[in-house]
Amino acid sequence: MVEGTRKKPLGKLVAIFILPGMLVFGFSIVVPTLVAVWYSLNKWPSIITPQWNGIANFVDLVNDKLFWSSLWNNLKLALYTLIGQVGIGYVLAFILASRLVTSRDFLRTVMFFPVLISTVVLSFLWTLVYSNDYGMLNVVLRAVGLGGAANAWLSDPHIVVEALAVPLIWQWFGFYMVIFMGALGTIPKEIMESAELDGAVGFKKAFFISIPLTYDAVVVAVLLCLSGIMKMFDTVLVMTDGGPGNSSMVLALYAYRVSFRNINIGYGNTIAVGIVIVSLTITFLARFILGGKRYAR
Amino acid sequence: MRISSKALIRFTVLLALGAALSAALVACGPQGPSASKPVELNLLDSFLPNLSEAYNVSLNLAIKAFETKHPEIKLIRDQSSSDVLDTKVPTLGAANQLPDIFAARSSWTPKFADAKEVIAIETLMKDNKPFMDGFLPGMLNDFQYKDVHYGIPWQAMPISVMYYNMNLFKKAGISKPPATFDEMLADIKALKAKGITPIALGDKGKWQTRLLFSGLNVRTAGVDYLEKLKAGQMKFTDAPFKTSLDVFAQLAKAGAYNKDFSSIDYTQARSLYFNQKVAMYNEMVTFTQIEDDQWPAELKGDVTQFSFFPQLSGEDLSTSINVPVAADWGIAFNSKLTGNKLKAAQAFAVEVVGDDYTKILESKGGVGVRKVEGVDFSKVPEAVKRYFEGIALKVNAGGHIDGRMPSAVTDQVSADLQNILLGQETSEAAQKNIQDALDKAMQK
Repeated sequence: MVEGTRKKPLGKLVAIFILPGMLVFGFSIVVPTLVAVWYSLNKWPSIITPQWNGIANFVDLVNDKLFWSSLWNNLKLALYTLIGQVGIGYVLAFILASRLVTSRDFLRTVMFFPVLISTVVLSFLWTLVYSNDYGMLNVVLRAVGLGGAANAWLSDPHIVVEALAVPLIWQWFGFYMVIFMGALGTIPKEIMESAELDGAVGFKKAFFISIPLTYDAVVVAVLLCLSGIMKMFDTVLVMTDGGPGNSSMVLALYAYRVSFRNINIGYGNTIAVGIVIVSLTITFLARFILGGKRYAR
Repeated sequence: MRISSKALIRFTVLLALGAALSAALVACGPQGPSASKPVELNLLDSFLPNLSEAYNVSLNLAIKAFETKHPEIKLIRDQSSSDVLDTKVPTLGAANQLPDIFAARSSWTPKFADAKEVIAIETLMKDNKPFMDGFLPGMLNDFQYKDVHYGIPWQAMPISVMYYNMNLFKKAGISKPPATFDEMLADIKALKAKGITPIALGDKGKWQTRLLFSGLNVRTAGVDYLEKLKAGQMKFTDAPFKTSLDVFAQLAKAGAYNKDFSSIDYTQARSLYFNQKVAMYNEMVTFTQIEDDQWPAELKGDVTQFSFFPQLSGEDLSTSINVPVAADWGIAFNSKLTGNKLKAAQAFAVEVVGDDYTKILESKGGVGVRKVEGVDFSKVPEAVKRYFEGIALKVNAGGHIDGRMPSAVTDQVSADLQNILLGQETSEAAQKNIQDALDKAMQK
């Protein structure tokens, strides 16, 4: 088509097509966020009547040890899952992309399968795996002569966060693997063949060709992983409910507990706003550090 | 054919007016069959059919009898587990959308009462003095707020009772349950030496440790300690609470509990006891109410023995004992009920949580909150009989922390008790944390 022959769409027509999407976005994201901010500036002496409280809730939040320890748990989980979900997903995508691997489709389906299982069901299954007396993990450890390493995994405050990270990694590495497989598939064959002719094989090819050309997919995966972990709720609720003590408390569960169990709607929303602020900060930091579009084709 | 936009607007306006007129005419028309329409009452409860505790079975029987007796009242039931109601009811309350009748936690009372969302029982039943006079003294206290009551408990639970498996005790060379806490610590040592887990605890739901904490507090600080704490006449930093918390610390040091206590719930802990994996178990009286056929044969007879938690150092249990009696859950009524709905709700109160229900409950081993006579005790489960036979002391009823403290405080108590059991925290640190949480809650 010759440049300039296409008519510019009318502004009103564009607006009509965009309007439904904007309405949905507005009512499902913007309005609840603004309402949460409003709620966070109030307190509820009775359950239905808000009372202006200024920034008092935010002052409490800054001094709330449990908020910060929950954030620390979120950050630990983020680190483990970044390494586990994104790292393992990336390595497996490379392996599956190799010519040496057969039954690629079958393996990809098997590895993606946990993504399709309900998180609640999966968390319950992992609770059974970790069971002190009958759990598969301890049974296997005892069977191979490592009974000393058997533990009450979800009741030990020193390792409970790490124990929670394992099912999260197990469930989601397949998701990132599929993203990376898709990214690897977009690298033109000509580039790979040229690289091979120039002697770039194995690790050389991976480091100098594949990784740079899939860098944007890595950035997207890291951001998805980070934002997912900052909202982490269901796995922790089912497996530990934040315990033992508050050793595995995470931000979203804390907000839920304060809002619904303690019926402290104002402070619960303050925590929720805190989560948004922290998540946005971490996401922007990650975006800043990782760059992105660095190797855009 | 082209239709002008003006014509289209006129057509739309006419259509809307026509629809509105039709609706108005229908609404103003004669009542017809709807005149005999039953009064509808929304009931949100947790009485799931699979729960075998006496109160649950009895309430379902009472509700069924109510529905049969009153075809003019239609109960629209919405059932969820109590865990689900924990979030569902406050959410409905925050939206001012509470059902007509609902299962309520006593700790929600101040919030709902301040918002005028629930009706005081004294107001609901103002024309029925005999009903109001029928409650046992103090049994409505968990639902009391500013001198009136906003809920009717469906049972009273004398809590914090120890269950002993004497088969396992004998294996460890012990012939009788411990009478004192020092004896209990010695028994724990002997049981552990035989590879037996001494006490089962399932505190994932975080209330089992609070049960024992309340059980100890009424003994160390008196039956009215909760009222004194709220009035500022006592503090959690006072010596009696250190004594209570030190019990947990000593049990932790002795390795009394199953290692996974914080990641299993009370049903799993019960299973440990039922499967004879543990020698002791600490629970509410509701455990005894489980029908005889559900108790393992190996634990019947004299095998399971009951008693209160053993005597603490310096305590005298020769004649009486302080015991927390918890209502925790009860039936509450929406303040918007009027006319026929109000009358239907009054009938519900009398027939579903009144005397007839209490008779059914007590015939199954439950403990009701009303004075009733003529209960048929012939079918009371064996464990209940032995439980009451085992309690020879005069009982002074006190409160349970769950029913009478803000949930921010109970959350803090749970976290600190679990930390003590894990050896992560001292009693003194826990005392300070809990008192701080109480101060903060009372300020708000």
